[in-house]
Amino acid sequence: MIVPMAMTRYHVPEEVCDSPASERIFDIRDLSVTFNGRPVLQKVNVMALNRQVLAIVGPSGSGKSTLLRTMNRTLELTRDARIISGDIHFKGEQLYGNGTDPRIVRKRICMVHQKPVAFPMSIEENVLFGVRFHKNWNGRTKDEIVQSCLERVGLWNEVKDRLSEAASRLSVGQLQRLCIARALANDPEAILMDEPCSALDPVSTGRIEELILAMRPHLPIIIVTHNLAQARRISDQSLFLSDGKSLEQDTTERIFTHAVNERVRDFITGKVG
Amino acid sequence: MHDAAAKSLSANVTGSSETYRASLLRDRLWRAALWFCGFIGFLLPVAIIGYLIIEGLRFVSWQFLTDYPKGSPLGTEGGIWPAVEGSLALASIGLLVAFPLALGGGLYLSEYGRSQRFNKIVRFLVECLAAVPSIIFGLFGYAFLVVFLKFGISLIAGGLVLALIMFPILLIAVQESLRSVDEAYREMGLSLGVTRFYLVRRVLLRKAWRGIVAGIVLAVGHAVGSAAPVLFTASVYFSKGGLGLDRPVMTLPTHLYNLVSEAISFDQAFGTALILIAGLLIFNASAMLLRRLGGGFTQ
Repeated sequence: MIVPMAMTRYHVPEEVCDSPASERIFDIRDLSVTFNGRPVLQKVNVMALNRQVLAIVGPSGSGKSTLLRTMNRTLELTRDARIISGDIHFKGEQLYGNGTDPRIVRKRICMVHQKPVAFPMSIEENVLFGVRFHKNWNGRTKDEIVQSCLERVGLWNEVKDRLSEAASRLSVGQLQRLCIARALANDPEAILMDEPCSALDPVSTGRIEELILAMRPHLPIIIVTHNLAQARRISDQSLFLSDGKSLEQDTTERIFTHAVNERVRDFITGKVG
Repeated sequence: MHDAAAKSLSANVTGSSETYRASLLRDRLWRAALWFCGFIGFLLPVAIIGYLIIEGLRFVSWQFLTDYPKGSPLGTEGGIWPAVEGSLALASIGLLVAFPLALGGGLYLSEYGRSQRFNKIVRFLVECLAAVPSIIFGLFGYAFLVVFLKFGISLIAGGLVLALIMFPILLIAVQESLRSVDEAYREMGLSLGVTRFYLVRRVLLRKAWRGIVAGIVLAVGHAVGSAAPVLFTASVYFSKGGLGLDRPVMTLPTHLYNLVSEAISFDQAFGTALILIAGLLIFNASAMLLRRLGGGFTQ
């Protein structure tokens, strides 16, 4: 269970700290991570709420992707990466508790990567990749799952006549939506996105952003982006990371207009890039 | 006017038109030298196969393929079926034994082995094994399998020796082709909460399939074509055909060796060599077809 915390926890806004425990999806405290002994994250604090999009922004190399990968236990797939201190709670549960199976965590909290990748199989089988492993059919047929997932990402009409074709024939933009459909087929409870639009053209980027806004009422979304305009368009909360430290978290509106931290202000106004 | 401008431009770019012309010449010589080297790669196999066809094709007939050696001395007439059959059986046994082991070993080194140091040592030893001359494998097979384990000169002893020869080639092929699969597939697959085994089975092996098939072709070609490993372990001078694991067999390379070294019949030797080469070419071609069949789903 989450222990009620002090009202003024450093750089997490009060109204977020005050939110009822049931609304808190991620609660990360004093998280420190090293790579080969070199610190990558230092005492990072984040809180993400239900039905909200949290954007993680900051300069390159500030540890944004590392932070994201701690949140569904994919960081431990990287040799040499170690979490040396801190707690990550997901819906009140210890994500790194004893006896927690990382595979179950990854099924519940799915990740959309920067570069979309088609598995060497048909479009349909790509969607069912996780379902076939986790067997979470929940009384639905194969076709129902494929159709509903592809509809949710707006890909159904484009591919419904060629579901058995190799997925590698899709365009990059379509492929990224297929990757999101593949993740949704796992019935996740949260979605992590690691710069999902950085390989895409503006039109495909627009579609992914619409998709994020459409998913928001049902799923908490945490997105790493280097695109400040994008963070402003789609997120409710923003967290600013720099050199592995969380400098400030606030509503996106306030971060972009009245950031308290000087370095955050400089980055957002473009004084430093 | 135009020429003058071009001249002055080249002079500007290279310092003087003299050095410009010299470097153009060097570039052409370089290209010609490379073309020549590439052409050798084309010429050699075509010339060897062409020569074998010219010398051997007239002796190849249905009877040559299906009959056993006859005449006096033995091998001057008749056919080579027992040798074809023996080589096929030896290669099949070798591949059946070596491939599963090499697949497992390659998978372990590429996907599971956590200790870099252990992986490097194993890989180094396997590379050493691949570089061991085939006659040494033959000697080992004779001492260990034929004499010590009392297998006798037999199909099984020869098959196991061929498996030994194929194993390192196959293992390196499996490991390399898995390693060349982009890390993004692993990252993305595992982040969906599946096990490594599921990922290997459904994604990585399919992506690595082409490289693995190429390794099989290389290994089988190498093993089937060499006489040394089966000389003391499996082959006999003459057989009327018929296979048994505990019985010796004739093989194409040893039959060829006998025909030539004892000057029995050069005509029959060319025919045998042509069959051996044709068999390997057919095997390569069907392997290529197999790679194609995976088609869009292995990309």
